[in-house]
Amino acid sequence: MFVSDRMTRDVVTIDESGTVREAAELIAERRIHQLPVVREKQCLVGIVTDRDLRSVHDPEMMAGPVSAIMSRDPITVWPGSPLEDALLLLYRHRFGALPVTVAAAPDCCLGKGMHRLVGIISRTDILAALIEMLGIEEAGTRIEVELPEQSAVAVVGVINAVAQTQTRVVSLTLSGPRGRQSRRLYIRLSTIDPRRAIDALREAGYTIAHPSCDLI
Amino acid sequence: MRTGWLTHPRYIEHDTGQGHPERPDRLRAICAAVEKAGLLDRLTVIEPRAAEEEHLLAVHEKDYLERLEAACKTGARYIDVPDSAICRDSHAIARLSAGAGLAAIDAIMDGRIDNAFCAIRPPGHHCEVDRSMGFCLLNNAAIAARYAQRVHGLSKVLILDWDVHHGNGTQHIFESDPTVFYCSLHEHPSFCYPGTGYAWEKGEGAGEGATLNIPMPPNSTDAEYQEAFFSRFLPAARQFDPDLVIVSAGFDAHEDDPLASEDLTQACFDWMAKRTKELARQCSGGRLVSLLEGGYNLDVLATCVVSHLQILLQESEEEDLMLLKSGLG
Repeated sequence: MFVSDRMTRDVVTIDESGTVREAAELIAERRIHQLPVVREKQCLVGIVTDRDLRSVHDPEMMAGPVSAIMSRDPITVWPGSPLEDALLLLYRHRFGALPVTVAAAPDCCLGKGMHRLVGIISRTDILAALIEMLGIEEAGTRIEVELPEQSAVAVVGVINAVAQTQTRVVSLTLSGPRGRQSRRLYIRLSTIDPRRAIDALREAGYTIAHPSCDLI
Repeated sequence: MRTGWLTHPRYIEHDTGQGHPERPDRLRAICAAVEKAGLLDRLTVIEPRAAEEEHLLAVHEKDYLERLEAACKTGARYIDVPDSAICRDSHAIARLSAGAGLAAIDAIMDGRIDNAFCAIRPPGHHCEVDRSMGFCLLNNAAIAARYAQRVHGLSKVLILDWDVHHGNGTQHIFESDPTVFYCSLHEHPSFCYPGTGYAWEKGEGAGEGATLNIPMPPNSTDAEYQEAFFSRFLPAARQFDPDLVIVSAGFDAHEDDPLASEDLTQACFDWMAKRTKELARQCSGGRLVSLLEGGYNLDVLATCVVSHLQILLQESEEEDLMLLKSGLG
């Protein structure tokens, strides 16, 4: 899955000649938190957030250009990047959304090496993608299997056991050991009756992790 | 009380194949236990009819009904998902299963009986408007609720679903309908099929507030279920003030059921049935139709159904006395 699969293409923007007040109005009306600032509609010159705007109280500043308070040269992501890149950038920088850009054409107003805005990707877009990848909203039963090791052989063993039950696999995820929790494989099967899968897994020597009461 | 008993020999002919938990033996076990307990003389036997197409269409899309019929005719082994196993007769039997609730409602409205239990299969509460899921071919409870409204003019219907699995189909069918209050107690969606029924699912649009989901953590006990039932379900149900109570009665939250992980005993199912009957007496003139959903441990299922019937048969005065004695009144 790539950024272009998940980004919003129809981006709300403000021209760099716009005022801070106009930016505040746009953010409130469109219920957004980040507003890319552009030149000639497409060339990204900065970004202004609702947090930047909250710190502006001076009426003179409100009437002034948005470019005075925007962050210049914002961190961007390429539409062809894997979704993981956007996830990492959003997480590390604690951003709510990232502008998605490509290199601007040489005759662009900004000249060579500048960015043309093609979309925006937010934390919510990433969460929606994760929900889909984990199949959380699809009917099924979730099983947590403890993996003795993270080898392909151990994973294949789980898949072979589950394959005997002929149920459809909704999702399959793996996590390494962390703290008290063992290395696990999370599998979601589209069945009301997980017994056959569980029995087959136990027979193949796997341990099924159960929720412990102190977690609930 | 005059309690209707609706079942049909054809329900046993719905062949789900070897090793399938929703199997003909479920009904064989129930019928044998009911007979052995000597209940047949006390029950009013009513024969179910096949639900007419117009009543199925009040819930399901025509396209789905045609697909179901065609799948059975062509000898498919299942429809939509492998869980929903079928045989050639399954379509006809599913209509007979949905029809039990209709016949029970007719008998209640004619004054022949006070309440009823329908020992039916295939079950219904997972079935969506347009597709089968989780052993369910037609949504029996939903078809009964719409029938009560359309044919008998009962305006407000409460569907109480205590099957251990959330009744996704029933919820979705009535999600934006304020006249049908769907309430479900089930094992928490994070741990149990189908993964819906979070507490925040409360209905949509005009139906907002007419859906109540009470997800229970795995290994919940009688006391925990009773507390949830008493403090969350009952007040909401009384406020809704239904004209008819339909129970989607699954007995798979029992500690010995193989499919899920709740820890109820038969006493809790009895307790819930008594409270529900009391609720029907207060709000709905006693009108209560209980429909079998899940329950996959044959001994548990048979014992629970016999006890459920005995509770439906009990006279109200008798019940009041028992309640006083047990201190639960």
